[in-house]
Amino acid sequence: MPVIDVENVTLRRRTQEELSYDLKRVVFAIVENKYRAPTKRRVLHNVNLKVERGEKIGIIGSNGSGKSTLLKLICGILQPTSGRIVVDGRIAPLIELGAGFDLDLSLIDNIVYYGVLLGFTRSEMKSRIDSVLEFAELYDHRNEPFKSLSSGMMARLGFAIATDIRPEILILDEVLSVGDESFRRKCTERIQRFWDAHSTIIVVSHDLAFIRNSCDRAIWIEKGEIVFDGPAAEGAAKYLASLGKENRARERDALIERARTHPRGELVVRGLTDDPEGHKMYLIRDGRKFWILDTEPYVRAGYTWSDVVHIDEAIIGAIPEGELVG
Amino acid sequence: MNLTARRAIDFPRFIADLRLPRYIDLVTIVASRTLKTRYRGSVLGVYWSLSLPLIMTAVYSLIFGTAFSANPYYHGSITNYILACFTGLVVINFFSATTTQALTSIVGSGSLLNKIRIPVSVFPISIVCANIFQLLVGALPVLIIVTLVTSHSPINAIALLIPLFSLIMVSTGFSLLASGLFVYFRDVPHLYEVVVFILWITSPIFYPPDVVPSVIRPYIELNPIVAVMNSVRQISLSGAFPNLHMMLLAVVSGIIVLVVGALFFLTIKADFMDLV
Repeated sequence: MPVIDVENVTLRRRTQEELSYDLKRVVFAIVENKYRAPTKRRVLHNVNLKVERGEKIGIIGSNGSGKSTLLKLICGILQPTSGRIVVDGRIAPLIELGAGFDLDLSLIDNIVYYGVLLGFTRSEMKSRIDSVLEFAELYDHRNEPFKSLSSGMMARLGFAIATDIRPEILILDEVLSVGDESFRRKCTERIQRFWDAHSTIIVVSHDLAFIRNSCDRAIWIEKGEIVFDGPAAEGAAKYLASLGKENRARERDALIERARTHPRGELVVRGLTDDPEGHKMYLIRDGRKFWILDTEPYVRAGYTWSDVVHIDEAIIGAIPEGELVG
Repeated sequence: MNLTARRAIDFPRFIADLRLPRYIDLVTIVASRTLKTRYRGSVLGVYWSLSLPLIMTAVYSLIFGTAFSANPYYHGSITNYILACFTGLVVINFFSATTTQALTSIVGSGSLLNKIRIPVSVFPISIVCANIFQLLVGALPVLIIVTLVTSHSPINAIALLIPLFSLIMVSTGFSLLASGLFVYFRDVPHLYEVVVFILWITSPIFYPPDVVPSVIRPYIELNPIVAVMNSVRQISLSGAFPNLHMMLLAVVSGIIVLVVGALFFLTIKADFMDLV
C-alpha cells in the first residue's frame, strides 16, 4: 500500500501572461465581442508515481520542468486537472522556509502562527514553543519582533518549527541546511534522524551528489513528464549526461534575461558550477546592478558567473545569506 | 497536524476544507495576527476603532444637526439626531472597514497560499473575525448602554445582537465577493470604492430617511445595510419592544447576501491558485 499514489495526473494552469487583471477591459472586450477565454498551459502530463513507506526519493529535472509543481500537488496546494492523488499520512511541507512568518509579531507568536499554518494545531504549537526556541538557540529573543532577527536566525527558526515534530512524509524543496556552520550541523543531524527513522522523504534538489548518496530512487521530470524513475545513481548520471554544454548556456542566458527584465525588486537566480560536487552560486539583482553571492567559497576560488552550468529555479525576493562579490 | 490522513484529492475540495478544528485554528491565528499587528500590543488600541464613528458623529451633528433635527425629523431633538448618526456610523463603518480590508486579503497572502495548503477563504473570514472582535469590545458596549438607557429593557439589549449578526452576514458576503473578484481583476479596489460610496450614501446615516423622495425610497430599501440599520435603531433608540418584522427583514437581507457571496466564491475559486 503506497503512502503517496499519484495516478494519471495532468495539470493545466492559466498562464500569468494571459491575465488581463482588469475588470473594465474584460467588460469592454465582452461588449465589443472581442473576449476570448483564457487558455491553459499544460504543466504536468500523465504523471504516475507510487511512493512506498520509508522511501527516499529525489526529484531532478531542469528549471521549469514541473518538479516543484508536483510537490505542490502532493502537498495539496494545487489540485490536479485530471487524475487523482491519494496521500496516506501527515505531510510536512518544508518549502522555502520562513515564507509564513509575520515580521511584526514576536518570536513566540510567530512560532504558533507558522506552526498552525504548517498544519499543527494551536495547542500543540503552544506546548512546543520552548523546544523550538531551544533548538533554534533563540530563547533570549523570544519576545522580540521577528524582524529584529538576522536572516540566518529567521531560517533557523523556520527549520526548528517545521522539523520539531517528526512527520510521516517530509517534503523538502532544496532546504537542507541553514544558518552558520554549527547550526548547519544540527540541521543535517536532524534531517539525518528523519532519514534513519524510516520517514518517507521526497526532496527536490539540484545537488546531484546529494541525490546519489542519500536517496534510494530518483525521479527525473522533463517538460511535465516523468522521463526516468529508478535507482538514484543511474538517474543522476543520465540527467547529468543530458545537460549538453549548449543547453546549459542557453538556459543560463534565458534566466539572466529574465532577471534583467523582471519588474519586481530583486531577483535571485540560483545555479550550479560544473564542479563535480555541484556547488551553488547565486546571482542577485539589486536595482540595476547584478551581484554574485558567495555562499560557498566558490567565487573566491576563481569561479565566475559564466562557470555556472546549470540553473535552478529563480527565486524572487529571498536573498540567501552570504557575501556579495561585485 | 492534520494535513490529512488518507485524502483523496478528487473529492470536492471545499468539503475537505470543512474540517472544522483546523479551520478554526487557522482563522484564530490569522485574525489574532491581524489584531496584534494593527495595535502593536497596546490594549487601548482596540478602542481607537471607536474614535472614527465618534468623530464623524460630531462632525455630522455640527454641520447637519440643527437643520435635520428641526421638526418633524428626529422629534425635533438634536440628541436623537446624534444617537441615530452614531448607530448608523457604527453599522456602516463595520461594513466598509471589514469589506475593504478583506478585499486585498487573498491576493496579499498569495505567496503563502503557494507554499502551504490553506483554504483560501480563511483570509477574508479572518478579517471579518478580527473586526467582530473590535466591534465586541469597542462599539457594542456603547450600543448596549444606549439601548438600556432608552428602553430600560434587557430584552432589547439581547435583541440587538440579531441585526448585528445580520450585519456580519452582509459583511461576510461582500468580503467573499470582493476578495474573490480581486484575484481576477486588479482594478476592483477602485470600483469597490464606488460600491461602498453608493451603499454609504443610500443608507440614511446622517439624514432622516423621510427627505428621500418617495419615488426613490423603494430602491434604497434594496441596500441590505438599510434593513440592518433600521432594525438596530428601532431596537436601541425607539425605546419600544424589538420590532420582529424589521429584525426578520435584516436577517433575510443578511442571508441573501451571504449565500450569494459564498456561492460566487465557491464557483470562482477553482482558478485562484493560478492567479494569486
